Amino acid sequence: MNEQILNGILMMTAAMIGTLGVAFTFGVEKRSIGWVMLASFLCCVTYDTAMALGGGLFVASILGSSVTTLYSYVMARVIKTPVTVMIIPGIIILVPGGKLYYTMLGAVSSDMEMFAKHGKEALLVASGLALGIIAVTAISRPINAMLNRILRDNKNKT
Amino acid sequence: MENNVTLEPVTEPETESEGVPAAISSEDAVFIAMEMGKRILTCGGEVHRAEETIRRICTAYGAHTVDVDAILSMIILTADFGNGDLTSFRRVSDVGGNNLGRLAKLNALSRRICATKPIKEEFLALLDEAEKSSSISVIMKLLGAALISFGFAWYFGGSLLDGALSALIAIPMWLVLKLLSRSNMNAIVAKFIVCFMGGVGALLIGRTGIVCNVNMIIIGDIMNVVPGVVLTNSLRDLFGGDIMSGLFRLCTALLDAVAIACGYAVAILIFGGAV
Repeated sequence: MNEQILNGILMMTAAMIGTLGVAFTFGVEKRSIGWVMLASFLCCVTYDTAMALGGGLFVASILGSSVTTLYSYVMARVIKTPVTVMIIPGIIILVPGGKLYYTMLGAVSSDMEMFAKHGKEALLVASGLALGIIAVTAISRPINAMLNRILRDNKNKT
Repeated sequence: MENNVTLEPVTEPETESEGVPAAISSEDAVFIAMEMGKRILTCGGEVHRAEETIRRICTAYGAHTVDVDAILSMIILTADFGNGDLTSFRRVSDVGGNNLGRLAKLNALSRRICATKPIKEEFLALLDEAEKSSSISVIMKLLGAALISFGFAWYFGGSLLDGALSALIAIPMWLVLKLLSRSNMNAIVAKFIVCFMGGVGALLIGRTGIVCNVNMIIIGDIMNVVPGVVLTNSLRDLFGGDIMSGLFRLCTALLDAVAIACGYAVAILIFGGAV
């Protein structure tokens, strides 16, 4: 059990280092880096917990990306920064780079089993990732519009 | 109704209209809005954000009606400031940039423009300041690339050594990619060349006898070039109703993915296998 926890912490550290790299490469402002790291942490925890509970790749990806996107929309309003700044580094750990590589390796080495297994998994993760973003984006626009209207009305009253 | 078509740059301000603050002409207001929209698209913002920014800026400067349509490669705006329709068009090139810091700065600047309504010269100075303060240094980009490769090679199951070797390859890969894009090389071909180089580098390291996992080294480097930003933005554009821009970005992401896969595949085929 202890070994599992230690392994989880190490994986989390690796994911955080990768996310920090993305934040540096894309020039994320210093004031937002902490929030971006938190987005990635949430994504990692949600995805790993869903996987550990037997949710499967597809469900875990949907949950991971939707929780991160929701967090990004809320934080973007709070710290007044574009949502893109939070989402992109936040969900990078879900991008199925490894699975795409093994799919390609399977195709190149004529290992159809490897090709089919990893290709299927890459598709599941990518579509789960997309669905999570889409679901939250779809509901966030009307909510954002409603919030803007309420804020404007309050401002006019005062 | 008078149709006034302006092409960039708008140089000669016309007589002031009733809805616009005294210090600024409607042409200048349109110029400011269009410059902001164009820059948002070039640093990785969504089409919806660019359109919304243009709409808000024009309204802040007193436009009665604003019709704006943007796709990734162009923006068309028609605004009425009380003296008839004013139409402007911008061709947007270089939309592949990913400067999220600049996007945040431009977002803050657009709020400031709406609040303070600066004149054209003030706006240009503010824009220059925002762009200068958000440029990313080469050292930062190299450090970022190395951290991405190190972190993700480790995260996807490699050892610390695999991560370090992956980071070592990521640096020349990034430099060559930069060099190729500066020499106007086709972006897809450039990615193919860089990935081929990365593949050869990782496979050569594997052949030296160092105890490492070549697959993990390659995966770490792939995370550096994988079109994550484009893919995410394409989905957000598609489901936000900007079908054209979403498809444009989706195609770019798919072509990038094919170029990356082909680059590594050719390297693996030449070496006769990954391990």
